[in-house]
Order: sequence, then structure tokens, then C-alpha cells
Amino acid sequence: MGKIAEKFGKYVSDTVPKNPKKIRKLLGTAYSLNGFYIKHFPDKTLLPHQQYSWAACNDYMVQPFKHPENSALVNIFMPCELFHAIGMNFMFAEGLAGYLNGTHAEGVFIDAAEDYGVPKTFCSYHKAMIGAALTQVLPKLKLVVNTTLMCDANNLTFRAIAKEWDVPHITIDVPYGETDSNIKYVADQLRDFGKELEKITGRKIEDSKLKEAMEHEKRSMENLRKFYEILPEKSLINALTPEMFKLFLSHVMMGSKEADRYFEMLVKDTEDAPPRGNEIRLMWGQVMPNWQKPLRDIFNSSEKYHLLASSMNFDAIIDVDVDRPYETMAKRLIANMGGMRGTDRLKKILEMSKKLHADGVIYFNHWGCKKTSGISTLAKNMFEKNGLPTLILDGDGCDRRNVSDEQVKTRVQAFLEILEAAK
Amino acid sequence: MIDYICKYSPIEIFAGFGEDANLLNPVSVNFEKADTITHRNICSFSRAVIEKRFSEMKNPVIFSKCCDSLTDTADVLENLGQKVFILELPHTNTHCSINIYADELKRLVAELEEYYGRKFDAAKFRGAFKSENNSVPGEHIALMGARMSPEIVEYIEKKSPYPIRNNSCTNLRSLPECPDTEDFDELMNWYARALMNQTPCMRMADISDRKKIIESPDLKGIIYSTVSFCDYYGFEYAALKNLDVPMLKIETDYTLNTEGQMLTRLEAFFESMKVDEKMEAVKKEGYTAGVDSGSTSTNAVILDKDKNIVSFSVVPTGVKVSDSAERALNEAIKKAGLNREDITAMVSTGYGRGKIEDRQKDVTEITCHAKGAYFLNNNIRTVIDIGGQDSKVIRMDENGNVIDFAMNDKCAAGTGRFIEMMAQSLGLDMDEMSTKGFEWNENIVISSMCSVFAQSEVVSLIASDKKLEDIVHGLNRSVAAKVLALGNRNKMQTEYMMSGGVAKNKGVVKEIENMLGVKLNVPDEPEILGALGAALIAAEM
Repeated sequence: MGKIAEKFGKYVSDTVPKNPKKIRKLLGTAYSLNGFYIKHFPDKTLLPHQQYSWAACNDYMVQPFKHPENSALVNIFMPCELFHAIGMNFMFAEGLAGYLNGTHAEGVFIDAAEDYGVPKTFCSYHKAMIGAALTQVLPKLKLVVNTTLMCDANNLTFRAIAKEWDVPHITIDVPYGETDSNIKYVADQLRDFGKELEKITGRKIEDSKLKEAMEHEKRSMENLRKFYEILPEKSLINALTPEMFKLFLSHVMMGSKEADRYFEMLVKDTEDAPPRGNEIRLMWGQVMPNWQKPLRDIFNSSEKYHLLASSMNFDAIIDVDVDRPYETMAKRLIANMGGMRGTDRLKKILEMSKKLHADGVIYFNHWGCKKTSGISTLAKNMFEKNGLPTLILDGDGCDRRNVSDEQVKTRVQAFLEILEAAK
Repeated sequence: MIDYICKYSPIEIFAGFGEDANLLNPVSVNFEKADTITHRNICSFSRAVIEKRFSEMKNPVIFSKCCDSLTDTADVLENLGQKVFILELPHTNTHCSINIYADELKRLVAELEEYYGRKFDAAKFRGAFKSENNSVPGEHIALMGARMSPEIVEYIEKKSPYPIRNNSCTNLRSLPECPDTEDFDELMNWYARALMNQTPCMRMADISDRKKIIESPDLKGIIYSTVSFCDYYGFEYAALKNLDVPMLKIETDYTLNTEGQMLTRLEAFFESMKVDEKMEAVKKEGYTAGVDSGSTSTNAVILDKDKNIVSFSVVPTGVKVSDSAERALNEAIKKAGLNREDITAMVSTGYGRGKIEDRQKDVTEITCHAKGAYFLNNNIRTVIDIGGQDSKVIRMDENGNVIDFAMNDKCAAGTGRFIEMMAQSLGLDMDEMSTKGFEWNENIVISSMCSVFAQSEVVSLIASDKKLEDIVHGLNRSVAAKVLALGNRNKMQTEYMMSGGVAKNKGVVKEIENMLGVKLNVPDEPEILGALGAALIAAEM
């Protein structure tokens, strides 16, 4: 499979400059076929909720290629309940870049973004998406909307793409802190966005549909919270890519019926899992380079090394008020860990690591993510002071040319040897 | 005294406590201490601030959450036990967001009353708003983009052929006069609005007002500043690239090390703005010389009065730049059968150009390479120069004038030094390195951006039994990709000339040709192009 993907990636890279529309069609078809394959021949090493997440996320990725006229470009933190309610698809950086990487094709798009003038030091997920938009492999979507949460890249990428595409661009500004004025500020922006969305699509956001989305979200949040209550005493086998899909489901897909079903399955699989044993339990700080072979070899479906959670998968667990959708969406944004001061964010990771009985933390500095890397030394100091061995791992969640497998392998293996010796 | 960093910082509030504000803008020798407590991949300015405050931390410092690197910096400093104030800064200036910022300002006043142990003095606050008119009337060059060190700004102001309007990040701070009200809430609401209504920086959601900076008919050029690992202004630069105004991008890492290279770029930019003046030069009789003092070799060219090349020399650059220049010049004079007094004018170029005695003038290698290339072939529009320690892409118009150029940063990746380091690791000499990659089978991608990491990657490839031919081919491709990315492939135009020592590496030339899809013109002696340009300028003096 790897060799085929590599050849496919090379073909994509060679063809994009000459015929981007051909590649757009090809990627749409390839992702559709992938969806068919994983639905009918799921990876049996994965648990049911993980198999389901793969298929559900794949469906979401395909739609914007098939129906660009009914799709929006969003960032991963954008609350998409209004899209679920109005029946609109969306595309987001981490998803698209992850998929391009999965087909070994991210390089040509990252190069296109850099040729355009995007700094090399910029987040590679965002560079891949900008490149896909500039080369027109990602078709022009109906509108662009992003939150300022949680990093600088959101303030730049979406504005640049909207300008290139010449489509409406809306920014939802998100301050941090659960105050009444902040909730009102963000909820009002979301309300205005809803009106704008109705104008752009010519369709109405039905109250009943929005309520339905909020009910999905309420159950999903309750199950997500329950999952973190059960997990401390359970031994749940995990893998990198499903943990990344969990990020999609707990963010942009929150409020969908797919997320509702997924979190229900997650709780069931966790309840059915054996009790906590002698496995090495690891917390993962920030995004995951799920594509990287040495990490997949170590963690995927391993009985010995358990990936408990990516910190982004518990960044905003809130109470959902079905009758106040805009305020709930606003709360999900302003309560997000991503908006906190760095030290407070680290305290939350530490707290969850303790709760889940983590043996150590891998804190991942994704290339271009200043928000993560600037406080990585503080993270190591804080976690280790509290008895949690920590590995700061520099890498790239998207651009395989930017990382050496051997270096990552040696570091992670050495760290795991330390944890094993201490167990 | 309070230290501040961002133009949205409410420094007038500190005046209300009788405290002056000091703009932090430090340049570091290195980041030895900062790198023990933060990561090298945050913006260099943030690292410079941390480095500075490791040794001088007497003042409290105020931050706004203006960008990720500086927000991280606030946490780092606080963890060092320093007093830090930090404000939420909205991205919009709507009625609601201004109210939120006003609440932040009120919170700050309460925090400061407790910190200083005295009351806020509204009269002192109002007195801190000075009506200043710093605008430069008439024709000017605009400084734009991220912050710059005071030393660089001073240099630009001194050398620029036009007056400078400093519109860079922190310098765009301007507030109206303060209303005469005693009502604290009203005052803070007004103040929040005034701060948020300034010309927006790139982190704001609506940046349409930034157009004002470039709309003046008197704008003669733009010097655009970026700071390494600060991404905000790279985007604006990309959007401005098609402006019909000469523009130079300079990037600083906030260390003293980048200054030499930056001054070369600035000098070349100012030279290109005075092109008409140069064209009016009068030709004189006699032999002229050009000396190019590079990091690896020093090259000299002698021309006769009709601009025929009568001789040239290439000697290795030794420890003392002026001695190497003397040797190169003497060798070329000897080859030409001339005496020193036969040389009526000599122009120097290259890194050591300012250290060469007897020069009538020194000119940057950017201008000289363009001059030399155009002289050899007036169809050349792009020069790709890869020398020992730097690489450049120079674009020219149909008259041979430089219209744009890009140079690598201080990283050695994609330079002659990079190829030498890799050849050493592979146990090849430079001739073998030049041709070995022709017989490749497997397309190996060298992933590391940095020369040091690339070297360890090459070692791993050797250890995993990869063929030398394939590794060399991968390296050639990485050098080619690096230099083409530097020049922005979309803007480079035919015909191309390649110069510098690396032009003798056939493998690299071939990969650049493959990537561009066109043939490069490679002169017989690609190393002497800069010296030739210098000699031509000497001939026109």
C-alpha cells in the first residue's frame, strides 16, 4: 500500500503544475474509493469506534471535492453546527493536509505555497492547504470562515485564500475567558454569521435542524466527558490516525449525527476494554504526525504502548444548552484550552495526564507552530517537576520532507526505554 | 519605567502612574540563554527579548496577546520570576470588541493600582497624549512590515536616496488627542477605541486600512522587513510583490550576525534606484580592473578600453581579505602583461569589497553580477549565482538594470559550502560530485532543510546502503530546489545565466535546468562574473 501511495504521490506532484483539474478529479475519486474500501474492508486491528471514525471522516473529506458549490472552507476550531443544520459541507486544513499527506502528495502543494511567498516557517498544514487552493486542486468553495482561535496561522491562511478565490470571508474573533461579555461578543458574531450564511446559500437555517445538531452535540459532549471518566481505569488500545480523526469529530464534526454515533461507540469500546494493566500509558501534547512510520510501528494497535489522548481532544468539554445554540457554540470557543495562557494550558494537560494515569508525555512541536514550541521547555520543566517524564519531539505533522524517520525513532524509543525502566 | 513591545499596548496608562514607557527592541549577539528556556523556532525578536531580559530585568513588561511567539514569551518571562502584565487583544474593532478591550484596560488600571500602591492619575494620563506630526512630506521610501532594529533604521535613513517613512510594525503607533473628561469609564472607552483604530497590523481581521501606506503617489520604493519565524508579514509581502514600485525584502534574525548581508542588500537596492545616474557615466581610456572578494575565492578581471577581457584570475580567499585581493589583482595584471600603473580605475565587489585598498569605488555583487551577465549576453533576464556561502537570484529588465533580487539567509543550505560538506561525507572530490549524480536510479529526497541535519541524513543514507549516485542526485535536486524557491520560480524569466563556483557543478546545473524546463547559459568562467561587472563599472567611471 505504501509503495502504491508513493507512486500515486509522485504522479500527483508531476501532474499538478500541468493539469491541476485532472488531479482534483483524481483525488476526489481516490478519496471516494478509499471510503468504499474502508467501509467494506475495515482495518480489523482497529476497534469499532476507530473503524467508524475512519469511514465517517472520509465521507466528510470527499464532499467538498464533489460539491464545491455547497461547501465552505473553515478552520478546525470553527463550530460547524450551522453547516450541519443548513446541510453544507466544509473543508479544513488539518483534514485536507492529512489526506494529501496520506497520498504522499503534500510536497507539491507546500512548494506552491512557498513559491507564492508564504514563509517557509509557516505551519505546514496551512501551507499544504494554501498550495492546494492556489493550484486549484482544491476547488473554489462558496465561502471562507475561520475563528481567531487558536493560532496566528488562522488569521493569515483564510484571508489569503478568500482573496485568491474572491469569495466572502468571515472571521469569528474569540477572546479567552467565560465572561458574559465574551459569550455575548462571540454569540453575536455567530448569529451574524448565520444570517450571512443564509444570504450566501439562499437557504434558511431551520430551528428544528439547529436543535437537532445541538442534541447530537449534547450527547457527544456527555459521552466525551464519560469517556475521560472511564479511561483512567481502562486499557484501551489506540492508534495515531484514529486519534487524529477524533480531533475532527470533537471539533468541526461536533453536532453531526456521525459524531453522536462515534462518541457513543467510543464509550462502549472503552467500557468493554480490559482494566488498566502494565501497559506504558502516554499523553500526547498537541497534533500528531500520524503519517510517520516509526511512530505508527510503535503505537498503532500496540498492547504495550497506549496512546491515551492528544491534548487537543479534551480542549473544550462543555455543558451543552440545546435551547441556546449560539451561546453554546460561543462557550465551546471561549472555554477552549487553545485560548489560555501557555502555563494554564500546560496545567490542563498535566491535570488530565494525572487523571488518566499517564506514565509520560510526548510533547510534539509541529513545524511552524509557535504556540506549541515557545512553551515546550516550560512544558518539560512543569511535567517533570510533577513526576511525569516528558519528551519534547520536534517534527512535522504534514511535510514528510521536513523530518528524519531515524531521528524520531531513536528519540521515541529511548524515551520509552526510560519509561519502561521506571515502571 | 515599563517595557513594552506592541503598538496596541496602553502605555499612556503607565503615564497615569508616573511611569515612563520604554520600547523594547533589542538585538542580540546570540540566543545562548534564551534557547535554554524557549524553542529556536519562535520568532527571533521574541528570543532577543528573552535574551535581553535574562540580564536586564528591572522593569516590568506589558504584553498584549498580539501573536503566538510573544504570548509564549510572556509565559517564559513570568516563569523566570519577572513581572509581566498581559492583555487580551481583540482582532476586530467593532463596538463589542472595543468594549471588551476597554474592560481589559480597566482591569489593568486596577491591577496597577495594587502593584504600584498608588491611584491612577487621569490628568497625568491625559497629559501623555502628544500631538506629534512625524510624517515625511514628498517623495519617500516606506519602511514596512515587521519591526527593525534601531541600527538598521539609522543605516537606511543615512544611505537612502529618498527620505524614509517608517511604517513598520511598532512605528505605526499614533493616537489622537485625549478628550477632556473626568469620567473614567468614558475615558477608557475612548482610549480602547483610539488604540484599536490605529492603522491595523497584520494580525487584525480587517487590514484594508493598510492600503493607505502604499497609496501615496510620492512613494518611490519600499523596504519590507520580516523577522525570521514571524509569519505575519511574509503574507503581506507576498501580496505586494506585483506592486509597480521597487521593493526590497530584508529579513533579520535579530542578531548582529545578519547585519553585514543585510547592508549589502540595502546598498544594492539603493544603487538600483540610482540607475539613470550610472547610465550617464562617460567612458574613459585605459585599462580597468574589477575585484570580487568572495568567501571562497577572490577573482579579478582586467578590461581594455574597449571592454575586452584581457585577463582574469581566481585565487582562494585567505584569512586577510585585502591580501587575497592584492594577489588576485597582481596575478591578473601579470597575465595581461601590464603594470599596476596601467590600471586607471579599480572597483571592488563581494563580501570583502570594503576592505580592498586602492579601490575607486565598491559596489555590491548584486549589481556587478547583473552588469557582467548583461554584458556577456543582453538577453539575460535572470542570474542564478551560487557561491561559497550564499546564493542569489537576480532579475533584470531589458536594459540590464536590477529590478529584484533574493539572497539566501545565513543558512548554508543550497550553497557551495553545503555541496563541499556533503562531498566530504560521501568521500568524493568536487569533480566526482559534479557528475556522479548523472547515473541515478532511485529518486532520493533529502528532507532536511538545514546543512547540519542534511549531513547526518546523508550519513544515514550511506548506512542504509543507498547508492552514491542516488544520494548525489538527491543532493543536487535539493540545491536546485532551494535556489529556485529563493527566487520565486513564477517570477523568474528567460534567459537565465548561472554564475558562481557551483555553476561548474554539472549535476546541479542539470537539475536546475530540469526544474525550470529551460537551458541555462553558463559562461566559460562562471566565477568571474562579479569581477567582470566590477571592471565594467570601473570602465564607465
